[in-house]
Amino acid sequence: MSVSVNTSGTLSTSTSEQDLATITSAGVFQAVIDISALNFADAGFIREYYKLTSGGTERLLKEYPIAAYSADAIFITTPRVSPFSLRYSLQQDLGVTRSVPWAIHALASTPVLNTNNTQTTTIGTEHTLATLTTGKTFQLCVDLNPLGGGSSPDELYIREYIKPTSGGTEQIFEEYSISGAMVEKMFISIPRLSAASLKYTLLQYAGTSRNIDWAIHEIA
Amino acid sequence: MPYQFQQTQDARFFTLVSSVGGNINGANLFAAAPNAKGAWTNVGSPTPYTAEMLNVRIYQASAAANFLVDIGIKTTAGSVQTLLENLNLPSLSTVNQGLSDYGFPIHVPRSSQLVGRAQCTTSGLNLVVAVHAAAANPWGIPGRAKAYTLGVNSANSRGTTLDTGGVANTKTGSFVVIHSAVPANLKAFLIAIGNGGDVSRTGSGAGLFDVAVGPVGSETTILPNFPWMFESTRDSPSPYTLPIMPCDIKSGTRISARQQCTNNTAGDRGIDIIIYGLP
Repeated sequence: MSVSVNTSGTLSTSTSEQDLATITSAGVFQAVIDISALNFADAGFIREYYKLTSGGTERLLKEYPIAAYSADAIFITTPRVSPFSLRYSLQQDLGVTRSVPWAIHALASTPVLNTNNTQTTTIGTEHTLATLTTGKTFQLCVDLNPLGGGSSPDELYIREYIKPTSGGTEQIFEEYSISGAMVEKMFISIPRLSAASLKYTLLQYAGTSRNIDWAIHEIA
Repeated sequence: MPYQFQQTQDARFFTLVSSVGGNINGANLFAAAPNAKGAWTNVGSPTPYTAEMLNVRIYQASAAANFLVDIGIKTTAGSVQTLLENLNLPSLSTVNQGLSDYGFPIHVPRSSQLVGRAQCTTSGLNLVVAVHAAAANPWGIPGRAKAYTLGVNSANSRGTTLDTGGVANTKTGSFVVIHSAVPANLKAFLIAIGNGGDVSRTGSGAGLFDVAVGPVGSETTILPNFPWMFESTRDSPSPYTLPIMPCDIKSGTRISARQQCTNNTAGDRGIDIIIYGLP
């Protein structure tokens, strides 16, 4: 699969948050941002926003604080599998505004929605979101916006189970622990190659029952 | 909150403290009645950005006392979500001062108001807590939701006592249970060492302790022979805390410990430990 520049430009930074790009085509993307012009007192944020479905609400996925005393002059975000919408922004909160060249790199791939739904949680019950038995690469996205904090925070596990072969035994191999209200409200699991069976579950073990949107994306 | 490896480049630190007297900048956390938690107190200003690492330093110089400190996030409505519970600062007799140093990969959302509270064995004492938070951690992992505290004894503000018995340089025959069934799958842990309630050690010595998992009689050691030492001037054990270490312990597993010491004098030979497990 080839990799190309999806879009690029140069941003004059500001203390206000400014968009680098909003990508609504399906693909796998990463932002490559040249921060070499930043000086010692300069610092800011690179942010990623994501939609789990075409009609879903955009959520903050990740906020990367950057500082110019870093040894690294280029900042590269984690590659994201994005079937619907991915937005990158930059905000410089400290120092002198700079000109920052940037580019979005795209992997020639077309991820699509496999399935999605809203799970109403029952405290203490492990809900199966989906069991995927076709040989593909999958990732789970969960909208954490409903979660609340405080003295009785909403706490949950997202779990992944896999079968080595179709006749094999399903076993858990990863458990993500999440607690309280989030600022980075979009959860994305590590993309998994599954040749036989992959299962995602959600178990809320504390707090108040919530309606949680989720989606599974696949890469053929 | 993408659960993928994070870049550690360009990590930014912020300090959540307010200036008070002495050599340390920090927030005073009043410990109320003996062995009871005081009120939650703000630690610094709301976090300027999301943190994936918390370093907590607890300091006191007033009296020999055991302290346990909680760190949490306060909502605008005033309720508190606890992130770190019962961080230990052991008592001392002669010098009456000390500093415990904890580093956890803990996730703290941007704009969170961190708060702390404490309990101690003597009422009315103050202590100082300084929190440094970083946007990334050295492991490149997302900060965990919280830590699980195992083996604490809130009635005496200490951990679980490990006594070597009367024979020097020999591990006691049985492991002491720290927690009969850990409440979650644990991927890393950090251990705090206390003085076992002895603030008047008569000699010096050095010990080795093991941490094990498994049922009674079938313990499997996962951390063998971790060294500690003491002497009679400062009385307190050294180190107060161990670095965070990886593990893979299934929820429901029994966790236990035992130790040996060069000094077989009752009191001198004992320590207490608390384990902080990360999911």
